[in-house]
Amino acid sequence: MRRAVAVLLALSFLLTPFAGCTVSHPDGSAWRDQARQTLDDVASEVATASLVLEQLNGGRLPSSYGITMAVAAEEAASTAEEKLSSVQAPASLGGVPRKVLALIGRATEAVRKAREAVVAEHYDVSRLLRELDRLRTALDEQRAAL
Amino acid sequence: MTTRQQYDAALHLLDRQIVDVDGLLVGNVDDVELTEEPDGSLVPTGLLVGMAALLPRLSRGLYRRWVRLAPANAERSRPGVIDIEAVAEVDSDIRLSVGRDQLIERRSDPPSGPTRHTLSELLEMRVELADCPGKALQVLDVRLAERPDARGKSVTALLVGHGRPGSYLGYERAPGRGPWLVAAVVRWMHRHSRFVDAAEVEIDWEARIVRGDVGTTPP
Amino acid sequence: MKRLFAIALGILTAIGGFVDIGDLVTNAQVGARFGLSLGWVVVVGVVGICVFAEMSGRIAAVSGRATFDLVRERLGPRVGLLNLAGSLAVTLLTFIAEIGGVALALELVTSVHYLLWVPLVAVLVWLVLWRAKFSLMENVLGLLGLSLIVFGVALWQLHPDWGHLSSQMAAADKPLGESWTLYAYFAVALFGAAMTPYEVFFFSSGGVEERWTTKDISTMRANVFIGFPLGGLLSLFIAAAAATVYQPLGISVETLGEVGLPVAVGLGKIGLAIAIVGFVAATFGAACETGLSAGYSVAQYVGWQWGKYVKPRVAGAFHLSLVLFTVLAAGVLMTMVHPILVTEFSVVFSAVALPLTYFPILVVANDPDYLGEHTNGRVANALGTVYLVLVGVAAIAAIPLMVLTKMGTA
Repeated sequence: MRRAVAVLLALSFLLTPFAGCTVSHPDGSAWRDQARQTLDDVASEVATASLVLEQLNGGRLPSSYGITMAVAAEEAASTAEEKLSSVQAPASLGGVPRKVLALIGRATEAVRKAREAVVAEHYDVSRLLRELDRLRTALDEQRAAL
Repeated sequence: MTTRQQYDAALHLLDRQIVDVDGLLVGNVDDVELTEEPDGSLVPTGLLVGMAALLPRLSRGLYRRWVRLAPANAERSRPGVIDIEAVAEVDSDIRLSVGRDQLIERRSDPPSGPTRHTLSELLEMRVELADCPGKALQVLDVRLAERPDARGKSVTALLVGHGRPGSYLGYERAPGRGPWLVAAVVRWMHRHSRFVDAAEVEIDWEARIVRGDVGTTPP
Repeated sequence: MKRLFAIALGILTAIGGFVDIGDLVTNAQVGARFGLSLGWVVVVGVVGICVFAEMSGRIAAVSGRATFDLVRERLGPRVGLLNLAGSLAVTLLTFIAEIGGVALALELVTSVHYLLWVPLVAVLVWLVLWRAKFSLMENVLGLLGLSLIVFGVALWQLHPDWGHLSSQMAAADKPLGESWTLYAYFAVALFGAAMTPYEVFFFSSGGVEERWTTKDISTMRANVFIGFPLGGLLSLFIAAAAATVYQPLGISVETLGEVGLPVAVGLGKIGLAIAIVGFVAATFGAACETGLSAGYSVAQYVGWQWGKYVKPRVAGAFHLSLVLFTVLAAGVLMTMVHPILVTEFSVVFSAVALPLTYFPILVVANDPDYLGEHTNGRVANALGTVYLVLVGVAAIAAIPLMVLTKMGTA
């Protein structure tokens, strides 16, 4: 019995430092890994948003289905953005993190606009579609450059 | 009580489904009651069911704690019994000749009544054989066979060996059974297992030891 | 004639019943990311579930014993209990995922948030388990589940590069830019999605309850050997459709909406409507089956009366457990844990829990005490042994791979 209590205490004590700090401080390469992942995720949501708009515009998708998908894409993009921006970027990377976050911010904003268009049933938005397309290319290039 | 001439209690009785005369399910056999006859032979007299029979098999410590949670409750230390007379057939399930309602009762023997044990007490008992001293053998199964006077079955032999009861997975009875890989592993694990005649051993229920002279290897 | 009809119905419902939320999500995810280069895993998984289901179906037909009965009989109460805990946890996880899947499918039709659908779906599932003529529901849902064939039609309408798809499948090579650990992780997930343990619990328990005899073995085999592979073909259609639409765009599948979208691209609104009918039928049917399977496994361990045809009056404890499981599943979903995440966990843990039930079934399938002359033949044993190794490897590898790849996100 006493041994069991000792083991329990030791285990719970060991777990404490591994629970992590409130703000994570990754080093350069860990931050780049995480940024690449985020760029990937956001690019996927940008592509989904533009695909949904195209299908809605072509009359191949019911609006309720489109709304659900657009809302999910927006949520996923902003969650990914938030997750990366809440990480303390290492100083050694200079201005790169700021540039990456700005790009991701623009992309998230575009996905939000796409959601607005879908909910308002304005499907003929060729400018937004072109912007989404450009952003997707930019995200892919940024990912390759990191 | 059955068409089968002999069978192994742990393999063929323990944990099997009990089905009543109408095909309704009663429970699983959690343990088997063994009663000592005046001549010293052990006779299966009942199927034990319920937590009071199952818990000791899961963990003795857990069982003791469970009893202590309700010390006044006698049912916690006396499992429910289905009398062996009610068993019609032992097959892949155990079929009864009666209905399931109000079937399971508790024994209330007088102080001078028969001495009763359970199968799970006998299983995993340490075995000391004269011809292989120093080997940690255990009781793995109990063979039941028809008594010569046709008054039901009694314990005729013990399967002893290493490992746990049931770990033979039934491979002791059918040579050449597949799949080859599993059979080979089981046979290797049980290379020291053998049957010993129940008449040639002495069971010490207090010290949980079975002592005997010579064993025979499985057929 | 009647017999032929029964066989055809059995096969059709086996096809429709094969696909559940795990197959839908995992196949679309893998298709979008790896094309058909993991298609071979679906084939391996389908052959595996055929081997497993045939053995337990045969045991059910000859000896009248269902899967979990045998687990305790063969492994004893202690190991049996651990086994029960593992299998029950996975089945409940799948149950939660299926109920969530129905809610997600309804969200797609109505754009009402899925959480609002969860209580209603849970109550409906419970009502079906409690009251309805289950055999009727099973057949209706199985047949409606067949509408997932629309993925095949959509694939054909998408005009994919067939040569590219088939060479991907034949070469089984990972695409550039993906790591081998990720490839292995998704291989295990696909394997777990194809070989979910509950399918076998449900199949063999159904056989026991319908009182199959040795005469029914051939019908059972027809269901298994025709129905399951065709169900696996549906899985491959879903993967190929996702590969055709998503792989060039770099879209990864994270929602049920994305699973269905390729059908809209290929066939438009009507096709999509059929696909959603398929989603609802497949997930609702699987929710009923997993709920029952969870109840079966507990009842069979303890020896309670169980069954989809028995009245609550006769099998009180069993029906009470179904109520508790349904409440638990709805409760877990109401904590806002996402059903797709639960699905991803459930397919991986399916792979972990599989040996727990596979091994005892393989042993009993060789036991003449249970099966008489119907024990495993050479082919069944050769395949059975190969899959014993495969299932073991997948089970050991699953959790390390899950940690290494952060559930496929790294």
